[in-house]
Amino acid sequence: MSAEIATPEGRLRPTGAERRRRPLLSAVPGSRHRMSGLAFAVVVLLVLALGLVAALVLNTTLQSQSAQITEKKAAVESLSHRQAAISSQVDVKRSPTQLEAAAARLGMVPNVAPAFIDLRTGKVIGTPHKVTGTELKGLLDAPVSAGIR
Amino acid sequence: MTERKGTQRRTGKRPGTAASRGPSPVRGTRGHSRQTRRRRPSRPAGLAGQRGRLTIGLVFILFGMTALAGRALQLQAIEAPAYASSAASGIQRAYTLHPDRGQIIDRNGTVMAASEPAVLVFADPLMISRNGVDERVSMGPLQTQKAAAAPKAIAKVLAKYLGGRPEDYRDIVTKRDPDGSLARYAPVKRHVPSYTYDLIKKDLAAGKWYGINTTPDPVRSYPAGTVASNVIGFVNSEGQGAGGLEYALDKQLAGTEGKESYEASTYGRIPLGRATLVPAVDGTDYTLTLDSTMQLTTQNALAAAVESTGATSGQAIVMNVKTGEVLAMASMPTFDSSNLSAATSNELVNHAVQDAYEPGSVQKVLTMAALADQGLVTPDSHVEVPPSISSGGGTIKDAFSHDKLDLTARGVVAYSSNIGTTLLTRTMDKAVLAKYLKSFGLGATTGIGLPGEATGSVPGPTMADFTRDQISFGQGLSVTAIQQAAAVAGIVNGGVYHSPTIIKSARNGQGEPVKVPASTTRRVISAKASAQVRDMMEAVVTLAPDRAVPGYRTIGKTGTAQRIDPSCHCYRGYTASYVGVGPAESPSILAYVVLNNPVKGHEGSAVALPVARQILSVALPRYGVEPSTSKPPKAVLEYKP
Repeated sequence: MSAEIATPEGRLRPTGAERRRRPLLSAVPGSRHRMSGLAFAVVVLLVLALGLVAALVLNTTLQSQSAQITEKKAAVESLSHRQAAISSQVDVKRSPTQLEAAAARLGMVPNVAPAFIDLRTGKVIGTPHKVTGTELKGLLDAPVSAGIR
Repeated sequence: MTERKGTQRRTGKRPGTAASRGPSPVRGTRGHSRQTRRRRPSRPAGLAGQRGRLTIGLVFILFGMTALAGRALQLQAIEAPAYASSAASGIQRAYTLHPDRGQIIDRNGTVMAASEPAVLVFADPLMISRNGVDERVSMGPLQTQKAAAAPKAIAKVLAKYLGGRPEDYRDIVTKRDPDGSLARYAPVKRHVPSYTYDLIKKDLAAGKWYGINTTPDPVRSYPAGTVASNVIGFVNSEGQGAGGLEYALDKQLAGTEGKESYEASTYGRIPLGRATLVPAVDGTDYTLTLDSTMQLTTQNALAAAVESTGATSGQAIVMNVKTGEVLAMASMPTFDSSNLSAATSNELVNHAVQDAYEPGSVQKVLTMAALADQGLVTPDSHVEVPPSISSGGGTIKDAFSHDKLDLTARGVVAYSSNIGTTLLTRTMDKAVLAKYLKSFGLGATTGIGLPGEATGSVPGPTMADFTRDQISFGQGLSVTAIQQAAAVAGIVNGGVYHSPTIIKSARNGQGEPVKVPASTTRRVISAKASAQVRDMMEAVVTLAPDRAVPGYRTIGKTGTAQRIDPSCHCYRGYTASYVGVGPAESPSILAYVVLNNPVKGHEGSAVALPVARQILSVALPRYGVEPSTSKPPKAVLEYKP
């Protein structure tokens, strides 16, 4: 609830003499500087021209940005294709079949007599000894069907 | 309305306003016209004719305007939606967005199956013959000259990137339809990596050659070749899973197609045009429990044995005893998932889950476990083993001929005596035996999630006495390798069975974890009974010096079963098997090897045991199992009565 403060009577109310001096209605003074018809037309045309130019610039910018986006997207796609091609090569190189073959080429053989060192005590668990590579002959001479045909 | 009335009322009160003045000139005019008519009576016909023409003209104009307005109404209001939609569809471009098929990787992240973006490259010979100039346009001399050189130039570019010689592509780029006209479609090559095509496209664009196009044709690659191909499976030519996990998980691996549509003009996409994008949801990626390196070792060891023994097939499973995770699952002969055309039906079968067979003496581990858990047997229980015993209408014999033997239960397992096992099993209720077999997971699929898993068959509680005798040493029931491996693993794992799993985890296209079939765990025998069975199984390994894995105490059981030949329903050929577990102190890795129909040697101890031993000698160090520090105890196999 809001209440309006009552204005004290008589203070704001104009006196009878004042009422008589001021006419009931009077014309609002017109604008002193009225633009001529020609100038107005020029201004409107200018605004229109500016608006059109702005719209054109905006449109062109958007279009060129859109073209850029398309170009970049194509570049991204091409790069992602390249990445896929390379990573699939990596997958092949990382596969156990390829790793085993690469290890064998380096002269590595399966170790069937490993030993563990307990780092807390320095104790060696197991009996390490030299492997010849013939311990698991079956694994190395496996028929081709086990790996790559 | 009210205001206007008011105005009229107000104006009506004031004389001299337009409203009150109005009528008088009208009246005057009318008066004048009447006067005119009266004044010039000689020209009424001419005026009437003029008015008539005017009227007719006006009517024509009226009709014309009405027709135009009607047409405008028709176009703008009635047919507008149709025109608008046809215009909209004219600039609308819609594409299906293809999801990437999920990857399958092993427990260490090695890729077992992956999809690579690829395309089907095809030529448009008609377009090539005109080098992209529209058929409706006549070509200038320069264009004709360039078009004539097009097939050769394009063939050269194709050969550069797709392999072969340019001449190999000449027929494709100049292909004609049966009616003699140049074809519009001539496939060049399938499964061309998108990157390779990008390079082709670049070269063609540089030379301004036209007429080579593509459609998406993703390629499924299996970088590891034959490694675990029986588990992973394969996809058909449409890219749908057709075997193994590719088949079983096809729906999840495939993902969901998306859709993109936007407005485009000749010059490309219209900015701020109406566009919708429903992105494709990539397929679920699966991580397996398999270890591809262990898998390769297992496959190599098994393949060597299958070849050297002349077996028709073989299966091997390496399992983590403590979790039920399958570390390797080999099936021989095998195939290359990416070279399916060369595969035979025997190669495509995953023998480890799809073959149900009579397990033979490995089953004695299960029988002894049930007996030990019931308290009916300890490793030192005395059994008097006669040369043969009768069962049903027949006789049960041992694989080796002997006189009466005085064996401990340990000795029965070590020598793999059928008679001894049968005699011990006869002390147990048949229904109880059936209950144990069921709890070991026999007779039902393990829920591992591989397609085509066999259930095997186990006799029920009302089995005949001779059936009870038979199944005690592994005949008269059938199992799969995965069932048998999981059962033995549960027995040696302190009596706690874990159902086998091969899918470790999965993530969907949004990267969120997906639920995968989990391992179910249950106690099948007591820890004490488990220790007793392990004691008996160690005697198998200590029986001969060449059975041990260097550096480790291991336990195991051999199996030699006669095979049922389905063609004659008789026993013909053998199934040789061996289950080995290490280390004996705290079993963690199990290797189970089965050779079907070996012809050069048929005993489990001779042909399957060396394979399992090789596998364990690689697996135990690989999984960080410390070499055993104690010596195996001296096994007491016989007793003095």
